[in-house]
Amino acid sequence: MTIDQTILLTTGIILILMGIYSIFVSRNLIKSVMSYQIAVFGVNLSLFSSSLSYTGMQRLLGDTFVFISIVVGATVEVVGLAIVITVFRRFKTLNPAEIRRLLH
Amino acid sequence: MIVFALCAGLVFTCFLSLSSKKVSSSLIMLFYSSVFLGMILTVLGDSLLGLLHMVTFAGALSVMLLSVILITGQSDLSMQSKNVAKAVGAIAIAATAFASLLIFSSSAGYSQVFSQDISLQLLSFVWQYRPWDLLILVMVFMTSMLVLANLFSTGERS
Repeated sequence: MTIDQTILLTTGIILILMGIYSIFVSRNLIKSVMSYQIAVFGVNLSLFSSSLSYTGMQRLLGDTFVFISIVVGATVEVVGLAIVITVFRRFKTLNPAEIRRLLH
Repeated sequence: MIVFALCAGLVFTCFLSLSSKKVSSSLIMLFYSSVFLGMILTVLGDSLLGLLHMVTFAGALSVMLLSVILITGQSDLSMQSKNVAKAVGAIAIAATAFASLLIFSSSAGYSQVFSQDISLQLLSFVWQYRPWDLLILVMVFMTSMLVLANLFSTGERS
């Protein structure tokens, strides 16, 4: 494992942990979606770092995984934003605790 | 060293994005972190993937996030100067036009420099231009994000 790979993998793990922590802690649904995007950044970076030491078709396979991760992450985020708009139109708030209180 | 600096910038912008209390500021920092990650991918030899990442996350999804922020009324920036925003926007558009002119005037050649990149060989018929020129174009587009958020912001305007 090269130095670049170590740096990228460490950064990716940091971003994943930051994103997951902020998803649970955030008090705004939009910021939760942003936290998810940061976690996706970490996943992309980790996948890319794993393909750095290879060449040829193996490198291409790693790049394909990153490509799939980008597309799936973007799609999930768009669906999340649509849910955020729907929730806001119904409850007039984006605070998860407030939404939970209005549900009961 | 460059990769370390870009990774440090990525972590820093992500931290600022998560720790910011204003959602609009978080969006701007998230936009910059997307560009940082795209630059990391580009510097490490996968320019096509990097630009795809920037176009997807820094382009489309940031605009969608901005739309959601405006719809839900969460935009709470107060830049206090609409004229400055217009001036910066004009500069960004002029710089983008200049970079586009550079790309289209020097479209021939230089692509063999990146011939080691296997992802570029597959789409070489599409990828005729130098990746760094396109990267500059995206970075100029990055500056226009702040202007967009500024124009839709609330607060005092001169």
